[in-house]
Amino acid sequence: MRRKAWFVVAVTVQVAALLIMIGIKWSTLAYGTKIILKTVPVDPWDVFRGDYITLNYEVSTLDLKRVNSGNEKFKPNDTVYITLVPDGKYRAAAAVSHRRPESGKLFMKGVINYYDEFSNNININYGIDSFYVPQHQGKDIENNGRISLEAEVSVDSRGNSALSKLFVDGKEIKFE
Amino acid sequence: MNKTGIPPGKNLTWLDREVEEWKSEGVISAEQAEAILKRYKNRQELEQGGQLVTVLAVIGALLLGIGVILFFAANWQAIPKWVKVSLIMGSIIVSYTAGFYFAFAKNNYPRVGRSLVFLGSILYGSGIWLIAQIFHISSHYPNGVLMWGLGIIPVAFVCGSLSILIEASILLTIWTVMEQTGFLHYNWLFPFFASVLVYLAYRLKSPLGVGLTIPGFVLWLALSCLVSMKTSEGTSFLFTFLLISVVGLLVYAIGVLHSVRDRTSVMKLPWQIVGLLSILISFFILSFRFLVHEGMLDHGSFKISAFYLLAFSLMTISSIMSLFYCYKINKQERLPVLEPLLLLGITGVVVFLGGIMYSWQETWFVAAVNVALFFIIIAVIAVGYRTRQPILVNLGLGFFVLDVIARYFDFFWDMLDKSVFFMVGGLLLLLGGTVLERNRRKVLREMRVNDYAA
Repeated sequence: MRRKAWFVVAVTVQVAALLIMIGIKWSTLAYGTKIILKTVPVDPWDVFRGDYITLNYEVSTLDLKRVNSGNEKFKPNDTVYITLVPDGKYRAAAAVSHRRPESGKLFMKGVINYYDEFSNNININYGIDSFYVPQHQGKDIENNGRISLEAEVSVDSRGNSALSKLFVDGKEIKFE
Repeated sequence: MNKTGIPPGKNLTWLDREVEEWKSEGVISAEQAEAILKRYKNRQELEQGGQLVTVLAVIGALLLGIGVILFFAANWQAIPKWVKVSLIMGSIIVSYTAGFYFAFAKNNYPRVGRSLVFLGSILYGSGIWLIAQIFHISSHYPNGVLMWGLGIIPVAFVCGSLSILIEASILLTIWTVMEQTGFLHYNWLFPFFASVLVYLAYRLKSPLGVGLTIPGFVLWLALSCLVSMKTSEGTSFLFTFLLISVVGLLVYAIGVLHSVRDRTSVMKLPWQIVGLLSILISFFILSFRFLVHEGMLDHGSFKISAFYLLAFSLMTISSIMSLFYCYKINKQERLPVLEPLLLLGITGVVVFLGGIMYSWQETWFVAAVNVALFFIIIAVIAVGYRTRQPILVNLGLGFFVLDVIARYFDFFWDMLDKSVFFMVGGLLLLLGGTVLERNRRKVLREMRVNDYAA
């Protein structure tokens, strides 16, 4: 039965795709360096509104006058690497570049959302700016505007990052 | 695939006609004619019952899929990570395995089995979304839709599944819209993926599958045009609609090419419908003065892009070439050459309109579009009548009504008192609708009678 064999292949492709999706994030979570990033919630606009909190990290928006950019030109959809340095208990961006920093340094990979010529700012998406929460609970956290929000993020040696925990006023958000 | 040997509705109409002729020529007796027809009519009823089962089963699969997603979403916090992942994987595999067993291995419940396979493809998609949730993944959101659309294509091929094909073509169209509007690039991968789907639709011999995949191409090209012209948005929109009408011409011309051979003539219809709709909708939109006015406001900073010019000329040239090819073939077979001529006429009109538009003569442009739209509608109806294609007559009449309503609003909205405006409008619609429907039925009936006589 050739159809059966091909069917097994087709379904395996789908399951494998999902497993790869999990595997990439899982390896970053398991083997990456854990860091704490300062963040604020932003009002999300989405069909699943309220089902996740959109996070805006301090390292998401970089002022090119303050961060070392080596006079490189940036445009939307460019892949960039930011070098992280300790800043109290948090990590802050020290440099941004199209080139991957040498190994040994801690850095994160992201894609430029937009470049604001006027303020000389760039906004970077690291793929960790959504924290999913049970239905309707996201709004409570977002509406509470003056809270301090911190995220625990794992960063692996190639700059991939994964969001693991979110802390409100120092307390971890848990739904389990 | 299960071949039951049941002819689809169109073949039955053909059989009706043929049996009538055999009877009149004395090839078979009246009783034999009746026996033959009865044999197939019974089967047709059986088939229609089966279609109902398919529809019910597909709806059932959809509801079950939505239910599973909602169950996960509602009980999310109560389930540990790895249980969630195993539940997702498990439900996908169970649904596919059961589907394959019923539809192909045992073949005892083919329709239910196929619906379960369809359910599997939906569960796979929700799996992507749920895993993104579990691991808080948010990078480049169109990728999720792409992963879903691409992932189910192999299953559609192996099972010859029309529902999964349609699902994939809708998903990939959504994907390219997300990519192109959100990240402003040409997304050259889309035509490649969509061609695979068109190929599959042809393999499945499904006009519906073809008809639902081609609009994706039209949309992709339109968005690529908008992406290529970054300056002055309004004007770019006007030019893009003009381009869509040329794309429509090419799509229609490809449909006409299908009628050259008997084997491919079934596939003429979806191309015709998508092509005509693209032409008529874009002309209809350009026929509104206020839209054109808004669009031309910022034409000072407008620059036409090389991509646009290339696409426009390629479309025009290839539709004209395919029309000449049809014309040559048709001349030998003495088939009506009206359709190619109609398209040739529209091509001329579009190129002419492009010229006026680029000289920014707003009034002339709107006037020309309105005259052209009116004549194209009449020509479509006339050609449909002469070449006995009900679809052309129906589409033409539909747009005729739309056009009349739109122009009524255009001309009388400011002139008449609102109460009079609506009353007169309502009366006109009622009267016009009755007259039109009577005539439409008459025309279609005549066409059928002529068909028998021919």
